[in-house]
Amino acid sequence: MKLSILALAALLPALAAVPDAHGNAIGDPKAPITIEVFSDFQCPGCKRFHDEELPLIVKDYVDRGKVYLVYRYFPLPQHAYARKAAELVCACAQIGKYERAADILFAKQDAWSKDGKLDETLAAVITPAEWKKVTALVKDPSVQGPIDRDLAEGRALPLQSTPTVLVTSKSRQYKIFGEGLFNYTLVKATLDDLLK
Amino acid sequence: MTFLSNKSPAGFLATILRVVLGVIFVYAAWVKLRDPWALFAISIDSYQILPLWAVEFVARALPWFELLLGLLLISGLWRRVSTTAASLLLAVFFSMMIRAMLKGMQIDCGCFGPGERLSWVTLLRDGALLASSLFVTVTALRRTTPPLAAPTDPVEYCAPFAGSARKE
Repeated sequence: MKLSILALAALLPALAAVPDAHGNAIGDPKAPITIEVFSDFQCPGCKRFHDEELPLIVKDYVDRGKVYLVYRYFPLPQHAYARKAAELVCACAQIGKYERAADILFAKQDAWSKDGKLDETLAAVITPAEWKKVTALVKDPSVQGPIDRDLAEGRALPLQSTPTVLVTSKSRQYKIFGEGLFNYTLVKATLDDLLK
Repeated sequence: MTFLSNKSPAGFLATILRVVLGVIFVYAAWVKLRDPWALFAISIDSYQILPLWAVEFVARALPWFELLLGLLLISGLWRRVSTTAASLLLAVFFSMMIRAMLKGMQIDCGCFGPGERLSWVTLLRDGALLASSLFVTVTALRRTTPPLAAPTDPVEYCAPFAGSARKE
């Protein structure tokens, strides 16, 4: 009971306001629906969701001003390079390169998940000058802070698997996860219903 | 009166459990009906058992069925039918959950709206509900209609015939 109250208390700020985003959000913050995607760059399910579902959601809802999409960092401890990947992408987000960094990491997930060569993977989308900025930012509180905050908020939900999607509409919040999340027909029906 | 008519301890317990099950079914229906139907469909689809058309049908129809079943269980109407239906429904839910757990699926239980992860706790809870429902069902099926009260005075009962016999 106490845990439930604590979890609810931790959620209240998230319910009350549009979540903070530092280059890791797209769309109109005043959109009627906010979608927060708790994701791990080394998780195969997250790659599938990022590659197959998110482009459709962006095209049908974010680009039309109906959804505000926020990416949340949730590196799982069992993935050796997930935290490092989150730090690098969060640093890339500080210089306005979130989407390109996230896209390339998910696209090349199979490769860097084995050897951990994240810098080589990211080199394809950022310049050497940008890379210097990114490496300087990685240990900065502006990078560590959002990741730690997202992890804490995810645990408070509680969130046990990735990807997990939080849909906030009309002050109500829905936590969606599991295989059904990959069925765009049903995700679309949910969003359409919430927009009525 | 169908509410607390059983006098034995088992009958009394069965009545209490039936009403509790009814309230739980009504609550489960309410939390699904207040949200978009597709949210429940996402939970059902996560079990990877039904084709999409069936997922949509179940997501739209099941909450209404749960509501009807809950109201029948609370009221005690059609007791044998409602308790049997509740047991069958809970057995189906329980089997689906066992299957998902054995397959290591990390999915939404879908029991009381979206957001509850399938776990040993949800499995234990549904197992307890199923056990309770089976007890209520067996009690309802065993319950026979009480026999008509035996006539206390057979002579009085047969008096008209006795009278007519005397005339002969």
